[in-house]
Amino acid sequence: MIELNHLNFTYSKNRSLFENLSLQLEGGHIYGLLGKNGAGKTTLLKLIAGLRFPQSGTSTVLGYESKKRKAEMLQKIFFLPEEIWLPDTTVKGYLNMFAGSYPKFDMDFFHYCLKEFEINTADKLKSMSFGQRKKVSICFALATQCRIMIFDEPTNGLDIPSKTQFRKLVAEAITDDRCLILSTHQVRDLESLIDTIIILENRQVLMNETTEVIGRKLEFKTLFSIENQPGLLYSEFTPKGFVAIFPGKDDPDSRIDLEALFNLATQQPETIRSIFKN
Amino acid sequence: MFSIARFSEQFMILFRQNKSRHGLILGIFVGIQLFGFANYFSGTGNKDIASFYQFATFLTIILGVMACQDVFNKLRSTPSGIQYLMTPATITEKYSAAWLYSSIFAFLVAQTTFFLVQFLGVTVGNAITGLNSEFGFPEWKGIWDVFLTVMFTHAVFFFGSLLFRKNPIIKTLGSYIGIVLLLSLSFAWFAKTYLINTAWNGTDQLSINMDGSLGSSINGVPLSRYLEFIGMNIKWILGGIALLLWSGSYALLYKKQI
Repeated sequence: MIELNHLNFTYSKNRSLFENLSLQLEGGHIYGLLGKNGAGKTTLLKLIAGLRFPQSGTSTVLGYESKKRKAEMLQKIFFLPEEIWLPDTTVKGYLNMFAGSYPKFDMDFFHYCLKEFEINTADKLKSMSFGQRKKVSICFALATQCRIMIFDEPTNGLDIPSKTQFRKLVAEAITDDRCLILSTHQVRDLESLIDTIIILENRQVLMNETTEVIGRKLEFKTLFSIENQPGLLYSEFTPKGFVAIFPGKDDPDSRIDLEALFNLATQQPETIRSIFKN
Repeated sequence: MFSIARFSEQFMILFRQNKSRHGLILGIFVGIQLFGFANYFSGTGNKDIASFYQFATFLTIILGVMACQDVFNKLRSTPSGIQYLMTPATITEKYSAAWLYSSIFAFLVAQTTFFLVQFLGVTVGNAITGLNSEFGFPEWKGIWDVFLTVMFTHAVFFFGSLLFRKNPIIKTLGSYIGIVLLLSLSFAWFAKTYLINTAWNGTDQLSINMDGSLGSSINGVPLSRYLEFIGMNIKWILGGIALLLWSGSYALLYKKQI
């Protein structure tokens, strides 16, 4: 669905953000895009959407070159940025303004989502809180039925019950021919949703693996002590004990601790490369 | 492939987003025009009703500048810019919709509103006061000249709206004044160096007519013919610049990154 080939991108001549980056994303997955601050998560999403142009290399979405921004491509891709913009109108007015641009827009699903988030269609968007406006944008995004949905920090600004609703609605909206990319720092919010992890590190994609493969190759444990633990790859102290990572025992259902995995990946990128090289 | 449906959708988005603001501005101008009528018919204000059209020209230019800024105002911030660029339509469709909306609003809506208010104002004013005032409508040539002025201004501010992210009106105006000054100085230098020092040597006669105008000829051709020629060419040059600016605007929109 999405193919990035040998992408090079830089904001300034002195520092390149991506060097020869390649990535393939398929339908039926919910990707979690992780990376440190400034690693280029948002820029990568923008390159996919055609909002930024690479210096060299190509970004292709459903067969369309992203930077050409063909209408046919834009009808199938939705980008929800971290900071959202909504016009000075009601929810209904917003719907009238933009829903017509998406041929597969599902009005029933939109109203269903609004109901789940307890938003009224007659409400003025400008008088809503940031979280409420974000909910409206999420509802709209999911109702477009776009095959590719890109959400940048979608749970920022959402209260705890809304995060649960968000996970529920996303799970309902995703199908085998759709692909959702979630860029987030709030990994705990979306841990249960994501089925493939992408980690950006040092201008490259360090990891692009399904949770099943990660579960097979790494084992996550919580221990009272980490002394005399053969094979220990990584550990961090938490109030509940030590979260430790060991080489996996081929258990696809092993529970993954995303934060620990991310810390292992950024601190020991070579270890991650050698484990996931095949 | 250009789609009329998507183009219309874009046009309607612009209309829905700007109708309140532009309606309000138009309302203010209508209010000023009505105030002018009140003054005119009460005999305290300007007695020349034809001069009302100068006000309409001013109104049209102001509205044109504002419309040019408003059609691309979403590109001034990242979240709204993402919304704009990700809305399903080609750049050609978005550009055409923005161009047509701002042009229609700048010229057609402003001028039509003016003429309607002028017609109604004079009719009602005549009926109330018993005067037989003329409508003061301009000749077609006057309207055509206003159209050319408005479209040139449109081209300049349309381009500026895409070129400058922050304060596009002020920056465009500043750049415009700067460029005009530069061109004027260049032309003055050119005239002094080539026309006076070289071509002027061929002047057959230079006299001052009874009405005070300059009566002269260069190589047997009256100076007025030269000025007419220059005037005609300036219109073509300005038309060319406008086309260039509209093309440049398209290129800027096409290359826009957020």
